[in-house]
Parts: sequence; C-alpha cells; structure tokens
Amino acid sequence: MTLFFNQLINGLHVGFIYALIALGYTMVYGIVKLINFAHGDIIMIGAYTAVITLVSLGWSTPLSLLAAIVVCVVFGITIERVAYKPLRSSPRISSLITAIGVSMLLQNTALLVFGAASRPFPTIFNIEPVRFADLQISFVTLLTIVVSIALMVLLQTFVKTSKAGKAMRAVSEDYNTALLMGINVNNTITLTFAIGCALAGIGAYLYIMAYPAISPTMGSLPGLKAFIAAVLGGIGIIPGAMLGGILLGVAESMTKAYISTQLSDAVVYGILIVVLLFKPAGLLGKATREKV
Amino acid sequence: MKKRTVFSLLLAFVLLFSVSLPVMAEDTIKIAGIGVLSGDYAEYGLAVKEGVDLCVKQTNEKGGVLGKKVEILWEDTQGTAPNAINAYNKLLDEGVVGIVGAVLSGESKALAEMSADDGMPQITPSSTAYDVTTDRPNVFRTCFLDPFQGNAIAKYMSDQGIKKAAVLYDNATEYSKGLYDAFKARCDELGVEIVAAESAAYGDKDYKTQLTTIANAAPEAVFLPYYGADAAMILAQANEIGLDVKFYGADGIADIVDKVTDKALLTNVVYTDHFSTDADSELAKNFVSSFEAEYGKLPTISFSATGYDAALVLLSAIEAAGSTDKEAIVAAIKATNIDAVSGKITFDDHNDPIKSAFLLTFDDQGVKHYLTQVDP
Amino acid sequence: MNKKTKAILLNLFAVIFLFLTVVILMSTGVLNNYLSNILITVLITIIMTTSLNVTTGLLGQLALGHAGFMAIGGYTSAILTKIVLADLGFSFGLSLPISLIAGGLVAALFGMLIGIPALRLEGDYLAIITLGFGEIIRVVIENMEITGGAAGLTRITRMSRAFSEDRLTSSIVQFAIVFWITVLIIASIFTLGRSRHGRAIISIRENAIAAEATGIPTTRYKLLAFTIAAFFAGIAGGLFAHQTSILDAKAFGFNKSIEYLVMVVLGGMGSITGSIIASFVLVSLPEMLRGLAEYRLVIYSLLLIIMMLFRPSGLLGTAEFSLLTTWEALERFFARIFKREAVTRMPFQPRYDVWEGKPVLETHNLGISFGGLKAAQNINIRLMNNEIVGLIGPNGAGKTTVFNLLTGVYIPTEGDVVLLGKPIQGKITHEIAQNGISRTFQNIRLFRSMSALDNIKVAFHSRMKYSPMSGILRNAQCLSEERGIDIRARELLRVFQMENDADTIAGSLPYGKQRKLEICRALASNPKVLLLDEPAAGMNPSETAELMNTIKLIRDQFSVAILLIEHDMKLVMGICERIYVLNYGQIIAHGKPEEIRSNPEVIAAYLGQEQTAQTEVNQHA
Repeated sequence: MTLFFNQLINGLHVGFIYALIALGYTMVYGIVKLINFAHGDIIMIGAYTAVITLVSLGWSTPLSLLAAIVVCVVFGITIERVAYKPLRSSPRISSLITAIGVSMLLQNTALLVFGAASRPFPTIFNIEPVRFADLQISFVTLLTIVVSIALMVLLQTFVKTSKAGKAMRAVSEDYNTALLMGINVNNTITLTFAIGCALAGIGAYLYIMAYPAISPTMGSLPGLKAFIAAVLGGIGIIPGAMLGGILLGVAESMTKAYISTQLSDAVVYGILIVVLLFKPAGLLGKATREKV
Repeated sequence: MKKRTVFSLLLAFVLLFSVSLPVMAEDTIKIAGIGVLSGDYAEYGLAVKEGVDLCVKQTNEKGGVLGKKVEILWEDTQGTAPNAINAYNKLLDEGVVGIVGAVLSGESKALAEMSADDGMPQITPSSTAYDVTTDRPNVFRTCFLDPFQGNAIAKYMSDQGIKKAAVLYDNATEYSKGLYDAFKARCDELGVEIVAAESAAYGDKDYKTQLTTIANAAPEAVFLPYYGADAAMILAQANEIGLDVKFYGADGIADIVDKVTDKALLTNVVYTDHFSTDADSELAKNFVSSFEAEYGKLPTISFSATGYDAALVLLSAIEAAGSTDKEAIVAAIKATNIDAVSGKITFDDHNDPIKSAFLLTFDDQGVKHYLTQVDP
Repeated sequence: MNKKTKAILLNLFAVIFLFLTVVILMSTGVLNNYLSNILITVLITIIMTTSLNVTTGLLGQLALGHAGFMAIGGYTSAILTKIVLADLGFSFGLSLPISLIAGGLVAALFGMLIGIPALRLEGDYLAIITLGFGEIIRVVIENMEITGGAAGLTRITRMSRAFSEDRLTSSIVQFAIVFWITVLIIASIFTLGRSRHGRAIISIRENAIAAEATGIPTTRYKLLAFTIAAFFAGIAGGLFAHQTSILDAKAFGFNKSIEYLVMVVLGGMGSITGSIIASFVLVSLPEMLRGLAEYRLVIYSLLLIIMMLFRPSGLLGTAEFSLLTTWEALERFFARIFKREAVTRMPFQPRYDVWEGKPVLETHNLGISFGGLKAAQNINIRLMNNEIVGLIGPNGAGKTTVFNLLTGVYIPTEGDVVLLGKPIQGKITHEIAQNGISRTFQNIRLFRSMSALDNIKVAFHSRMKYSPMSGILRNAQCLSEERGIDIRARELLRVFQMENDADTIAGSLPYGKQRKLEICRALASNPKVLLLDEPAAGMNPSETAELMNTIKLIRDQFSVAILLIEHDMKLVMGICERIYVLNYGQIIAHGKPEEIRSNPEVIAAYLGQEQTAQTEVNQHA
C-alpha cells in the first residue's frame, strides 16, 4: 500500500507539471482555436534562460525565475504577433502547420546555439523530504503541487472576475461579436499568450527542478503530454486542463508501476483516443456542432 | 534487355578503368571516417573524430603510410542508417581504401552491410553490439562488446559481495537491452539475485515510478545501462526519492561528469570503460598528453582512444599489407598484434579485440579514478 | 498525325524517355552508386508525399503519423522476404512483389483503423490522434520480438545487389522496379482524384456538410482516403526496407512524418506535381549541401513558416502539370482507335407521374428538443407533387431546424417523415439525399475551390456505379459514365444560363451565380423534393425577380416539389401556392397566400417579433 501511495505521489508530481503547461495550451486554444505546438518549446526557452542566468551569470534563484518568465513571455508574444496573427482568418490547417514550423524553428535554432548535449541544472533546494510514516514526499514535489494549485486558483479567479478575464472569455465565446462589442481583441489575445507563456516559464522552472537536464528537444515531450492533457480534460476549459493533467500524470505513473513501463506512452495515447471517441470534446467539454 | 546489359557492362568496364587509373596514380592514401557528427549523439562521434584525426596527423608526421600521405575524408551520418549508406557510396566513389566507422551500432550495421559486399576494410571504434561483425570478415572493432561489459560488471559486483541487484534499462535501445541481457545471464550464474528489473521508455525523463518500485525491492546495487545524460537524470531522481545505493554503469556513462551538478552523487558510481586516462602504459600516456596538446582537454570520452586505435590498426595494416588491395588489408587487420592506446589488440574469430575493460569510479569532484581491470 | 496526337505521344514518351535516360546515365557511370541510391530515395519519398497528399491535400485532414504506415509496410515486407518467403524457398524476384503488396495491405488495414476515429473527429483533434497512432506504432514495433525489437531488423535483402551477380545490372533493375512502381502510384492517385470517388473526397475537404447533403457518404470516403494513403505508404516502406537493408523503428517517428508533411505543404496541398517537385528538391538539396546539415532543419522550418504566411497554398497550390489534359486526350485517342465512344445515359427520371395528386412529402408531428428546449414540435407539413410551398416565420422560429430535420442533419426526437409513401426514419443525410430530398443552405455552401461543373458532378455521385478500381484504371465503364454526367452537368448549367461558367472556380463566381449554382447542384442529385433556404438572401430586386422565374422554371422542367424558406414577402407571396407559418417551433398558420396575409395570428407573431416583417406583410396585404 505504501508503494501505491508513493507511486500516486509520483504521478501527482508529474501530473501537476502537465496541468500547468496544459493551461497555456488550453487558454490559447480557447481564444484563437490554435494548437500552439511551440508551447512546449517555450518551456525549453525558459529552461535555458534559467540555467544561463542561474549558473553562468550567477543570478539569485528568484531573479532567474523572473528572467525565465520574462523571456518566455517575450518569445510568446513575438511568436503570436509575427507568425500567428497574420493567419487568424486563414484555414485552421495553415495556422497549425505554422505552429509546427515555429516549434521546429525554436528547437533547431537552440540546437545550433546550445548544441545537442544536455546541460544539468543545479539542485536549488537541498531540503529534507517530508515523511508521513512510510510515505515520503520530496520538497520539490510538494513545491510543485502547492505552486500549481495556487496558480490555477489565481488564474481561475482572474478569468472569472477581472475585466481582462471577462474580455478573454468573450473573445473565446465569439470572436466577431467581441470585436463588435468594442473589446480590443488583439490585446486580449496577446494577454492570453502572455499569461500562457508566463505559466510555461514557471512550469519550466518546476520541470527542470524535477528533471534537471536541459536540451533543445526537452520541450517536445512534456509539451505533447500537456497538450494531450488539455484535450483529455476538454480543450479551452481551464479546470479541464487541470483535471486532464492530473489524470494523465497519475495514469502514466500507475501504468508504469503496474502494467508496463515500456508501453506507458502507448497506453496514454490509447486513453486519449478512447476518451475522444466517446466524448469528442473531452471530459469536461460540451459538444458543439457546426451551425447549418 | 540482354543486349543492353552487355552494353552497360562494357561501359561499366571502360568506366572502371578510367576511374581507377587516376586513383592509383594519386599520391595520397584516402581513408573514410563515417559516423554521427551532428544530432543527439554527436558528442560520441566527435570524440571518435578527434582520436582518429590525431592518429592520422601523427602518422603523416612520421612520413605517412607506404610512403604516401594519409588523407581522411569525413562524412556525417546524423546517426541514421540511410545516411550511412549514402556516405559509404559517396566515399567509395572518391576512392577510399578503408573505413573507420561508424559510431552507433545501428549505423555501423547498415555500413557493414554495404562494406561486406565490397570486402572493404571497416573498423568501428565504438559499436559494441554483438552482431555488427557477425559473418562479415571485413568488419572489425577496437572496442569490447556489450556482453563482455555486462559480464565484467556482474562479476565485479559479485566480488564486492553484493547479493541483491536491481536494473533500470531501456528495452527499446539496443545498447541498453544488450547490456541488460548479458548482465542478467551472468548474475544468474554467480547467484546474484535480480530483485527488480524495470525498463523505461525511450526518451522518457521521469524515472521516479521505476525507481520507487526498485527502492521498494531494497537492492544493494542498481545497474544502469544508459548513456550519461539519462544516467545523470536517474541519479538525481534516485537521490530525490531517497534511494541511496551503489550504481553501476557501462561505457555509455563515461560522459556523465558534465551532466551532473551535484558531483558527490558520482562517488556511488562504478562503470566499465575502454580506456582510462590514469592508464600507465607509455602509449597511453603519450596519447593523453598529445591529445591535450592538440585539443586543450583530456580525452574524457574513451571513444577518442578507441578511435585512435581504430585508425592505428587500419593504417598499420595498410603498411603491413604493402598495398591498398582490400583483401590484403583485411588479412593484415585480422593478423593485427599491436600495442595500442587502449591496450594490446589482437582479433578473435568474431573480429572482436581481445582486450581488457577498465573499471572506473569518481571522486566528489567528478574526477575519474581507476579501480581495477577485468580481463576477458 | 494532328497536333494533339503529337502532344500526347510526346508526353507519353517523356516518361519512358526519362526512364531510359536514367538507365543510360547509370550504365555509363555518370550516375554512380551514390547518386543512384539518392535517386531511389527521391522516388520513395515521392510515393510518401503523393500518398500523404491524398489525406492532407484531397481530404483536407492533417495527418501527422504518415511515417508510421511506412514503418508497418517496411517491417511487414522485410519480415516476409527475410523469414517467411525465404523459408518457403521463394526467389527474391518472386518474393519482393508479394511482400510489397502484403506490406501495403497491412498498412492499409492500420490506415483503416486510424480512419475510424476520423469518422468522429476532425481537424486538430484528428491530427493529434494520427500523431498518437504513429507513436504507438513505433513503441509497439520496438517491443516486439519478430521486428527485432530494439536492435531493429538487419540483413534484409538489398535490391541493389540481389537481382544479379553484376552490381550495375542489379542497380538498374532496382531503379526500374522503383521507378515504375512510383509512376503507377502517381498515375493511380491522379486518376482516382479525377474520378467520382476523388471528387467525393475533395468535396468533403471543401464542405463536409454540403457533401453529405449532396449524397456523398462522407464517412466511407474518409475511410477510403486514409486506407489508400496508408496502402501506398506501406509499399514505400517495403521499398525502403529493401533499399537500406536495415530497419529501425526510431527512424519512423514524428520527425519523419513532419518531414513528409513539409514537402507536401511546400509543394502545395492537393497538387501531386507540387509534391513530386518538393520531394525531389528537398531530398537532393541536403545531399548537395551536406556541409550545411546542421542548418537543414532550421531552413525547413523557416520555409514552412514563410510559405504559410505568404503563400499558404504552397508552391503550386492545387495546380497540376498539364499531364491531365494529356491523359484525357490520350483516352479520347484510344477510344477512337477502339471505337469506344460509349456514353452512359444519365436521364432525369420523371419520377412524379405516379404521385399525381398525392403527397410526395409528409411529416407527422415532427419535433426535436435540445436538452429540454423544444426547438420544433408538432410539425405537420405536406407537399403535393409539383407544388411550391413557402415556410415563413420570424427569426428564430425554427425554419432551418425543420429543414435540418427533413434532411437528417438533426435526428428528430419525435414524429416521422414520409417521403414518397415511405418513412425515412433513421436514415442519415446522404441516404436521404439519395432518396430524393436535396437542399440549399442559408449561408452558401459550395465546394469553393472546385469548378462549377465539378460542383454539379459531385451531386451525380450516387447515380454512378463504377468502383474505385475502375476509377483508377479508367476503364470503359468509368469513361462512359463520366461522359454521361459531363453531358448532363453541362445541360443543367445551360438551364440556368451558366454554361459559360462551367470551368470557373465556384468560389470566384458572383454572389447571384453562386446561389444559382447551389440550386443547380441540388437538382443534379435528381430530387423529388427541393428545399431552398433563403434563396433570395442578399439579392437586389431585379435579381429576386429573376430568381422567381427560375424557381417556376425548375418546377416546370424538373417536376419537383419545392419547399422554400424566405423573408422576402414579395417572392413568397408571388410564387408560393401554399404557405406554412412557423413561430416558436410550431406551425401557427397554414393556407393560401391571401389567407396568410389576413391571418391575425400571423400578424401578431410578426408584430411581437419584428416590426419590419410586420410592415412587409401589411404592404402586400
């Protein structure tokens, strides 16, 4: 039973990281109906920023975290303005391909600049794990869970109550009507990207604290998993991203622990396919049909 | 159809002569260097390249081979089989007489498939998978094999009095799987119980689930047949969940030092390597010092040494054969009996070198230390 | 020999000439081992990109796991030649074709499996699913015994050495095999794309809802497209296996799929010629610029982004090299030789005579509720033969909902629809369309990038019989049916004075003509009941007057019953023989135009709802 709970904790740890990254996907998708394939690579950018400022430049931890967030946001906004904005009215397939292109560009440019070899990330908090009887929870796990929950609550409150948050929901509901209602759609979309990328920056920091290896392709796998989490929970829905992320993390951990480590990815994709077949809009999503 | 075949054959002969004549007349001997020089595994290929280039440079300084300068032509495979084949075809047309390469086992097999048809001498400095040389009389290597390493580690572990071991490996990587199989077989013989054998998916970064399962089985040591970056990640995560035991690895984790920030974790690691910079033979010392002079760093990845040796074996064989005839060179390689940087090299029936493995560990600064040597 | 025949022969021999040139270049050594191996890679890549173009270009669904099918085909055929057939004592010359086809079939089977989610999901979701499948395929192959697991499959018989003792001969045979397979596959995709099946697939890309309403079984055609694409990718995989002699599942991952996608996108989604050019350039360029290997992917990704920003349709868009006209001219040429000028007649059957004085369409208490909200209830509509009936009501009254119920877009929760005396309950949209109800849409849904003529031909789909295979082979049945509908479609356009617009791309027609074309397409599926959803929307008074004449003309010439939704009261009062008035999802009045005009309930409904409509009613009162 201890083993089970330890595995559950492992699953929650990775699940909350997925959830945090998934928020970025889900917000962007909700508002511009675009799978921002490059979101995972924003994490890579954040990770490199963190390691460069912290190790090479010797900045303090809070300062390097801030740097990671700022760089992620700047990249996110630039990408949105340069690559995605001109395509807002084009067919969906064009913007999706562009997003794939941006993702490839970031990865391969990083490969040229930083090389293929992975860089280590130092241990920041050398704090003893928390123990309950036989259970032990490492500080990083605890920190990840607490930070993620706090950020999600904050985000949800922001979207539900603030003026900018309401504008976001309006744009997401109906782009053209929002435009007619005098909402500055461009700014709202930019803000969405900025928030998504800021979360990615924090996510990057939590990610490399757990998996301290930074390489140009490091973002694609968590990015993909987080996207799957977002789809699983119902893309465009903030609580859906959290639910999807946590479910995915736990499912992965349980599959590895009790079914097969080798096939865990296959199982994860399998779950996604099955869920989509029965609930095409995800677990919390509402089915919408095209108006005829 | 038949007529055209005859016609094309005729043309081919004419062409063969016209191409081969200038090659004979040239005053350099061309050898090929093929391997992964970019992409995920580039550091291994680049380490090989540095060793090979050094050997070629030194040979040329001593007057070359058969009185001619040696020229090495490099082609990057990016680690893929189709590129290895293209590289081979390209270099063949440029008149190379022997190949050092490839670096990864997969690309080496694709290359061997081609070279075997032509009887082209090929020596890989780093492909440790067993069947690279199987049924291919022209293909040799200057590194030991996965089974040998797996054996050596199991033996050493058992000698240290360890009775319960666990393994974390990657079933989808030939290197990892090969090591695991050999290790397991030897452990069974030696009576070391494998209490947990967990595999992780290729490219996965989260090993905590597997490590938790392993910790739950309470082993005395864990075998990690991984490359450095992954092994570093595993060490960090093992530390996080409080799994504090000895970790054993193979030649793949030779580059782990740069991947770990908390070097103290490395004191728990023991691994097998092809070469130790602490080695006390004259040749090895010379190699280390000239390598340092040339590149301004130590040859920390031992494939630099095996790469040097591969070039050395090939060039010595050309000298011994007295010509650039492929068959003669292959025969000369087979008869090799030289002292090389990584030890004395002779080849067995399977074209593998009969040589020893070095067991190394680290101090808390991440400096490698020689422990012992395991002989075949 | 006239000019045309000359052109045909020239083009036909161009392919043969290309082939012979390469063979000669190979035998003279100009194309050395290295170059000819790259050429083989180019050809295999062409198969991959042209087949990916079937799903991504023709069907319009982004597939991110195409390399997975290549892996399946490669492993299947390699295992067959290496283990099974070798054990049975087959020679390589015999086992190669068997294993290639087997590889294609197994891949096709998986393609079909992946196509099943495609029936429910579209666009982004489907892209992710294909990606997921691609990864699952890789993981499973890596963990199976028979595929060699992590070590991969090695020592697969190599085509460049296996056919003959002599290297050159064997290389030439290899080239010949791969070249002609590639030519065959390109030709098949090409002819299939020109057949009724190809048109059906393209119409789904253009507008899935309209395609279904026009009688195209969209689910079946999505499956067909996925299956065909996978089949050809499987064959490419088999060729690849026997080219390189070594298979490693990691080589068929996401990046490989993306690489093929980049080629398709750059060449132009939907253009086979574009895919061929892109494959050639993007395979050979990196070889020429080996020194720039590190920059290759950076350049690719930049190209991809720039292309999407400035020329989203790719290099060639959907344009094709003139081979098509050549091909068709070639057919005419052979037809003349073999005297095969057969034309299958495609008459508009007068299905109405027997229904004289009887209702062609009847609904009984039809209704639907969306989660408790009754969008329509107790709808009882009756359409007599050759009748023009209006369906009016304020905005949001549920008029379009009624159309959606009649055409199976919505499944009624109560009541039933009887068409020509038979209930059509439980039938899906395309079946209902085939049974005789066709419609137009409030917001025009044309197949915008197809020509006007092709728009109409799509609607003839269900009246043609030839199979995908005869579409690929373009045999006598296919040609004669195609000729038949070509004549019919042009006749139909002539009725609407649009014969000169036959080859115009539908999306570029002026608004009024687009409306007419949509009606025209609805008529092409030979309906008994025609539903027109606001046909006069956006028309000026003179266009509306013309439309009134057209509607009468349709009724007279095609003897259909017409039910129309319209806000323009002048039109409704002018041509409708009877009118149903809908409000809050219920019929509140029914009768002749003059009765409706004076019906107090109708006036109240409009008054309560919409001031303008009310004044309109009064104006015509």
